[in-house]
Amino acid sequence: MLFNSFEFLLFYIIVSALFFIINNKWRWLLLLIASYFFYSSWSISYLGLIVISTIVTYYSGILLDKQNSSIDKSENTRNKNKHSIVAASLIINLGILFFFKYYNFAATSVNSIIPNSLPFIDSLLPVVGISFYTFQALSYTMDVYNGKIKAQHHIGKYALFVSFFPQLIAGPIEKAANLLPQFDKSTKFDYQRVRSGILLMVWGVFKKVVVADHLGIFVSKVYENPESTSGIIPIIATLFFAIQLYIDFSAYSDIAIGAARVFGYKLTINFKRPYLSTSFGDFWKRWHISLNAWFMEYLYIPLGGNRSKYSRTIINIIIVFLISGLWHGASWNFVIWGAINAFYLLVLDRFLFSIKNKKPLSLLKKMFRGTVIMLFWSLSLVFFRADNFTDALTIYGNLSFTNNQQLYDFGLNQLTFKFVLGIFLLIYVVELFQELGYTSDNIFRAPLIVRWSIYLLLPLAIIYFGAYGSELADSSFIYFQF
Amino acid sequence: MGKFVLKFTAISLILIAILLRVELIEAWNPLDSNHQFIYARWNALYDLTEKEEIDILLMGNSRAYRGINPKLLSTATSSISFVLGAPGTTLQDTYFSFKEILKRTTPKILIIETYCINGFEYTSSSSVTSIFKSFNAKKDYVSKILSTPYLFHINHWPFAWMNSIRNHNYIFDDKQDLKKNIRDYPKVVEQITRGKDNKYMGKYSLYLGKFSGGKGIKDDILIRYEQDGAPADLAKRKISDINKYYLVKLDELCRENNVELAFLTIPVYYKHLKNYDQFRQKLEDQIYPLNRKWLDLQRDYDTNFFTTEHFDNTYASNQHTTAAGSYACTKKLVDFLKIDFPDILSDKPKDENWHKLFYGSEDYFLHYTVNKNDKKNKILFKDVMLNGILIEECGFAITSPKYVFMWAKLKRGDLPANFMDSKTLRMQAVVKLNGETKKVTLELAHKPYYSDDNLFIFSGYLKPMDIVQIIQAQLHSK
Repeated sequence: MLFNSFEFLLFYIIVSALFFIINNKWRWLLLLIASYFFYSSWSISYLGLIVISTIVTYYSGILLDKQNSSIDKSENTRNKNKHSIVAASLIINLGILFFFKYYNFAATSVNSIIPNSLPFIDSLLPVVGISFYTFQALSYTMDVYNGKIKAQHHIGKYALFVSFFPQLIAGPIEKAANLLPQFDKSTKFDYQRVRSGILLMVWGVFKKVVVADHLGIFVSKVYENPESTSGIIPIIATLFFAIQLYIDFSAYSDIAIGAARVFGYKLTINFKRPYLSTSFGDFWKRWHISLNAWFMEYLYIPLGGNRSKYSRTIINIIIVFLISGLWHGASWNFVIWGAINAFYLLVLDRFLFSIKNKKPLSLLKKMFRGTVIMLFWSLSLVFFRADNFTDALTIYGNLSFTNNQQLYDFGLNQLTFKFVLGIFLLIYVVELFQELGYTSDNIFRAPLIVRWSIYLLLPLAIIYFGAYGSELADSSFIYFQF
Repeated sequence: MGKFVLKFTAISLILIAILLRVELIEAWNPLDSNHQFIYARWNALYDLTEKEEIDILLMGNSRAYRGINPKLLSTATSSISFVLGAPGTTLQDTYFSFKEILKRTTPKILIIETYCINGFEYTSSSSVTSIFKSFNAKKDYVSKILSTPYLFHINHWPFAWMNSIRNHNYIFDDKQDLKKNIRDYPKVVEQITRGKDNKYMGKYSLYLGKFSGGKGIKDDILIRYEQDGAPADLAKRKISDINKYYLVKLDELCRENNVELAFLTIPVYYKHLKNYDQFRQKLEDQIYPLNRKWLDLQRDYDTNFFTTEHFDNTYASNQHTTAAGSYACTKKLVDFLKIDFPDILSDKPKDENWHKLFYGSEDYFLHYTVNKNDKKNKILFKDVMLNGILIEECGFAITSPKYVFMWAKLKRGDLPANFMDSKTLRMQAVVKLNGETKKVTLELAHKPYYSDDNLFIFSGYLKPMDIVQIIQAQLHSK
């Protein structure tokens, strides 16, 4: 059930209506049932996996809590037990993740060195959302282990934390300390909150369907046949992919955050206008914030972070980026993508994007730097988007500033092309205003005619200008594949 | 919460009102001929069933409406026949369409062309698009609401109900069609009813056959059959579970409403396909348990009856009949109905209303005669002996501004059925042509698919002329 589908619209209206009708005591149950229903709409077999992950991490938390409060045991014994519990939780959860997402990749890689050593399992299909909820559940285990939070004893609310449908499939990856306590609070219907949540959802769908999906048509046409495109076309496709990826993923996050906001739950902001970054360090504080925070807290810092020697810090950064790349996909392409971004952070930031003084840059400078960063970023995305290593190299090889192909032969005619770019510019302008501190509250303070025009024009634009249709394949979000 | 509900409802209602208003402009109606065609069929059905009952209803996909000439079917069986075929239709769509039709009329017999009993699965494909168009053309909103969850995936419900949503991409891709639709509003509906080329469909046309203009298979295709073999391999053809399910439902629906159900397989040229027996077995597994009659013109392919002139000149796997082919198939269907369903054929010959409906239409005069008061159409002579054979009637009818239809009915007597094969009837006639009176030779070909146990039928289409007198007639071997 995609967020940008009629099915989801009906589902969400029913769930949110029931949410405000039923007693607060039972809302967690409603949302849990809705979340499992939502997840099973992809495949009923997925439920088994998320339930396993939920049970394992729930009981890990309980057992860790018991260890934390076992005063009769020595600290050594307690630590040893805690290590075992965490190890078990990690092994089981990462084991499931590895098997379903990485096994065939590992088999292919090993077989390329030692032929026929590992069997390839054809029937192993990717499980939507597994990377996200596994990391979310593991972060809970680690936080309980570190004593940052107490274990959740209500298994239903814990299960809801793991499977909460607005953020189940593609994040934001929530920390238990943020989300779990919210399920214990009583939420009342708040007009301003609900209105802003709905508007955010509609804005997300608008971005996704009107801009990202149109750009995706062009990008797909080029990347499906990399050997038959050259010159400026692959450059445009690569830039378009950078825009598409951002808008697609930020749109998903907007819908997730908006959907949760209607219920009265606050999710982590996942994007903060990354194409207005001032450096790559700044970029990674603005792009997929929740994932980067996860890697920072549970990988980078335990490895030593930047507390050790600089050479160790470099190694730590490289490890994090390589693993982050692998998290995105079971392919060496993603590992290479991670490596390129590690290089950007370590080298380009030092020599190109360092800020001499701590004074914030002006908006114009941010726009300039952000654009330059976006250009470098989009070059790395060739590996992210290409189907394989060879295709990526072909795309790179074909990049040039010659123009020997018709721009409008790649799925977008001239009118669509200009329209979509125009809407992207509109989104960019909105983000500029957001960077200056404007929020949706400014819309809600505007005159009635302005507000209602937005409320009507956005859905109408989605309906009449969206890239969807019965003849088009269902357009899922890019990050669903992770 | 009350304030929110009120505002949300108000905004939703405004939005829906805008969507409906845009939909009513009909600017997003597809102008492709298939769409118009489907609209025309349903509009004609609604028109017809306001006043009449349909006796013989034929449903299916393009094989059905290309393969059967409903005018001939009507006049040959003295009934009202209707062909409600839609390109790419499925048995599921056929079931729901028939359910709606039953609210308006109860046919005596429903004939399903078996090509729609296929391996259809619901995907974003051209078949689903055909179902959208067929759904769009229907006007019974209760039936449409009830059938929507069965016919369409939930995400496609908005597409099914609103062309402006389904075809919203016209804004970018088909601006010409959009502009034309807006410019022609509100004539679009009329235009659709009339049909894009106005060739085969009139506003009240009950016939709605769509006949190929082709002349039949040419030598290059015949050579390809020899060199490359048959293009259509039916060994791999399947019947999907959904079609199996709705076949049984259709049968039940017919039994509940006392409607006879029969099956018809319109053939392709016998060299055009292979392994039909394997697919036939799959059809038998579905059809035989229903205990219904089945006219399978493919299995019982008559190589003496069907010739290359009866099929489209194509090597594509999907081959249809030509106009001549549709006459031939209709003849076979008529014979089948007369033998297997004698009770369902109408007593319409006594029904003045039926005569009013069909008088002057295609092939009417081959079965009935010209009214005495008819000033346009004429009987030239009756009961004249020719070489020992009685010409019962010879006449002509002005069925179109572009041509005159002429016929001669010769009594068969004891002569064998193939006596007139390869023969033509030549007549010296005095005619008024382009304002001049002159003597011309007219030639009518023998039409075996019109001939029956009693009569040999000769007919043909001539240039527009007024035939004053026949001077001489003779049978001529080709």
